[in-house]
Amino acid sequence: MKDRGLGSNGVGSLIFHTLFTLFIVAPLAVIILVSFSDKGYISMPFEGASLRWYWAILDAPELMNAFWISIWLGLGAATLASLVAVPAAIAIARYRFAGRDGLMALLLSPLMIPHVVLGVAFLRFFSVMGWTGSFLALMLVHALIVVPFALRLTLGAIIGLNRDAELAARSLGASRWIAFRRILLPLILPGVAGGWVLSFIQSFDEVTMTVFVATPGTTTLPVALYHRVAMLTDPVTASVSAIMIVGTMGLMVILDRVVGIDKVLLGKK
Amino acid sequence: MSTLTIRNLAKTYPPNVRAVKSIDLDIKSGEFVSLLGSSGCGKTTTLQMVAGFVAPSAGQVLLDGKDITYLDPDKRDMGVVFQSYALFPHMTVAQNVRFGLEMRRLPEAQIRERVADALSMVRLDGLDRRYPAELSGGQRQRVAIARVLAIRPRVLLLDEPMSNLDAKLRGEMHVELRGLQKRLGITTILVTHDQVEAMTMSDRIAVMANGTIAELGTPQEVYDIPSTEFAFNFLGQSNTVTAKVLSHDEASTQLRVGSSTIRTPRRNGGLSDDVRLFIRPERLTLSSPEAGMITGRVATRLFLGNTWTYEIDCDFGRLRVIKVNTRGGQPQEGELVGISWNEADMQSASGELADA
Amino acid sequence: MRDTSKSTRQPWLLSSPSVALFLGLLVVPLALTAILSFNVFDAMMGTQDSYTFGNYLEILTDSYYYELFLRTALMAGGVTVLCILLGVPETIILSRMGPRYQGIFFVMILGPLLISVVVRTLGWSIMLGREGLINQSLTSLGLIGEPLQLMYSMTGVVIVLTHVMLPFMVIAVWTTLQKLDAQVADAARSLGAGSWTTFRRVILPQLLPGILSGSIIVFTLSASAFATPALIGGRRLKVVTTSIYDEFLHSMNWPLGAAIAVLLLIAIVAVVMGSNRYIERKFKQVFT
Ligand SMILES: Nc1ncnc2c1ncn2[C@@H]1O[C@H](COP(=O)(O)OP(=O)(O)O)[C@@H](O)[C@H]1O
Ligand SMILES: [Mg+2]
Repeated sequence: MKDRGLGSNGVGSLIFHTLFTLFIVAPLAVIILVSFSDKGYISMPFEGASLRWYWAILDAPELMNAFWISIWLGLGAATLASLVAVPAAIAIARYRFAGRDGLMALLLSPLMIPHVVLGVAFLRFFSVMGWTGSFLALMLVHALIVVPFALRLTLGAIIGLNRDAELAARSLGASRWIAFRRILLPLILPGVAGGWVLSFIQSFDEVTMTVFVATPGTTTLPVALYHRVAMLTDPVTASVSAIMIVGTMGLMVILDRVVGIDKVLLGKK
Repeated sequence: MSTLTIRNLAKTYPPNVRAVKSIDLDIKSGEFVSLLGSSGCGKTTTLQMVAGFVAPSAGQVLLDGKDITYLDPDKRDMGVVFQSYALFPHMTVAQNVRFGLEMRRLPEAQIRERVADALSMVRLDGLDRRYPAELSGGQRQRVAIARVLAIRPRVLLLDEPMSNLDAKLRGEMHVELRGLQKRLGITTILVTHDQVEAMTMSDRIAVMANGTIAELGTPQEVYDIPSTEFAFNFLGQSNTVTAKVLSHDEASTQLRVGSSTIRTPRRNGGLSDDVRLFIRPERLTLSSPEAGMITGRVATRLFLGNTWTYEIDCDFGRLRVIKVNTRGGQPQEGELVGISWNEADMQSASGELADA
Repeated sequence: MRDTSKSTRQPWLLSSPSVALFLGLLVVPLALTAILSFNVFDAMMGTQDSYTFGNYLEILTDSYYYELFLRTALMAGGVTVLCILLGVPETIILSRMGPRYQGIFFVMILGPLLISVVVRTLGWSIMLGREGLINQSLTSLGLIGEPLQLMYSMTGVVIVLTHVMLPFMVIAVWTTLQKLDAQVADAARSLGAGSWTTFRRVILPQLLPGILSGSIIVFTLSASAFATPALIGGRRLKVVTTSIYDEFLHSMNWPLGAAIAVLLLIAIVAVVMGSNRYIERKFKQVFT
């Protein structure tokens, strides 16, 4: 680490750091521990551990359905978001044009608009359009709210890239499309893939907006979990959550391999 | 081969950056022309307009008489070598070189043959499976050259291709690239800020300044008899002296500098006008004070191995003299010396050199 | 001038899919919501086709809604302060670590960002209960006699939101910290400043832009948070977002809910724009 004139960590710092890390990690660790309990209520697994609450998920069809809905929703939304974000990122990174800043602001706006407001807006919109309960409609709005994530990572990849390779391809006889497909796309693929994974995670995790528009047929896992926890916290909620934690960690490893986790988390270019 | 004609070419970037003001240039078939100028004078923009990467704001580019000003770059058959080399990092050397041939849909056998030819031309045989990241700077540059030679371009465009090489390799590449160009007879434009590079490689040099061509000619012409004060000062080293016209006739002018009277073999300015005179340091010779046309005292001298550089204080100012190191006795600092020159080597601002 | 038109068309062609998506699915729904907020609502017959300022008047004249917005702002403010107090020192500690540990702790501290907020909130609701981990440990340490009421309390909501928002503060401060020039601190030390004075007079002022932008993010996201206040605060501890939810899905008074939502959006946008302008004005001369 480069010294920034901040000195080094003393005992006080290390104590603070330990407590801080504990504060961050504790609730997640607790969920994982509780999920292994063999009791019928929330408790630590120290007096008897089991996998019974994992098996119990299989007997909760509303959670299983919600899981698959979330998976398909995430896949569809992330794919659609990447499909629209990649050309937009090329426009923003490669051209200077009137309205460029406005375009950027528009595409990043879902980060600023409270998701409750989006939920309300989509609820109204769907009911006006008669789209209530449509999986496709839900996927479209999920795509919309994850576009900023796909855009940011793609943009980061393109901006870091020297334009000469594309120009060279053009002058060697490649059309715009060939130059994109054979030169630019392969070179920005890690960023695009990272943006896709991050978009998938964001779509999979989204609850605040979705809770407004979800119908029994389009209830996602976080929404199902939300409703269940709002009623009671039983060990099944813990085992489902534990799976989500582990799954996210798996995706984080992939993200780290593909683009570097620091790029995703810190938004580094 | 191909001739290239550039007419009144100009580029203004929004809001109002006049990167290139007006360029006129006729390049003969097989000719090697350098655009030489300091950073920001518009060389790259000019080259990119020729390549089709940048749309001109005005003017025309003609290839073999055909207007290609707004033609897409992939329709131009030009080979561009970039300062960054612009190799495709995700492709091997062979894949890089065959890219342009694939675009031309050549049969596989012919592609293989041309790739092999191009790689052997730049002496890279055997490296075809390597990725650009596994090559040295010099090798990368050769791949970039092979990649454009493979398509047998009608025009070769080089944008500072040597500036990332170390000095020795650069010197070797100058000779090698020039040899290849002559052998293949490709019409070539080289963009560079390196005078030596431009001098050693070019048939003609276009000295650029502020988005225009300030001087155009063979290397000897632009160096020895430039038509502008700017070009004289930009290329090589120069001494500038202000003199007053004493008298003149058809064939010569008498001028006063300090306490001496000198002569130029042309008619310069009006009587008692101030005239600026220019002469290159290596055209001045040192002698004993009596034998010199003027005298001065050695202020400093620098040893550069093959040459000595003298700074000599005269009564009108300081002159620089460059003398080949012949191991003989050299004037010492503080010594009084005479300075002489061939009158034809002296240029003057109001005569043959236009004001910049 | 063929190419000029081409190069102005090209970027719009490239961005047209995204623009279409955003116009159709963001701008239109938001406009519909704004219109909805002016619709008349009838308790018997639901949303009517006639228009009124009544919904806004109701909100602006009822102290219940003032309290609601005030409570939300105080909650978000409390979370912001806690995030500054915890996040800034932690980021500085992180920056002093070797690259190896730094990497590990970054993932530990920032990683939870990618885990569903419902999951994180569930973890806390397990810990915050009367019989939960926190009350148990505090009791066994003899620090408290009676278990604390953390669930369904503002204290609990603020604690959990702080946990959820801390990564954003760390990211913002870290980003500015990366731009810091160590030699500036060295210069201060060589001019005779002690390490505390150097921190307070030289380092902290340079971190301020990061802390401020982190604060805006934390404040606005806290004020818009839904799942955490809903699950930890329960049905009676209302904030703006949970009351919008109730209007829409329990009272079914969509126009009123839409009006509250519009006001929330305006407030958030005002905070972001206002503070951006302030930050720009204050720091532009210094940091450019
Ligand atoms: N895309 C661009 N937009 C605006 N100005 C540019 C652009 N490209 C080049 N310029 C400006 O045009 C001038 C000439 O640039 P360039 O042709 O790259 O010069 P050179 O290659 O001789 O160094 C410079 O002042 C440069 O800043
Ligand atoms: Mg250049």
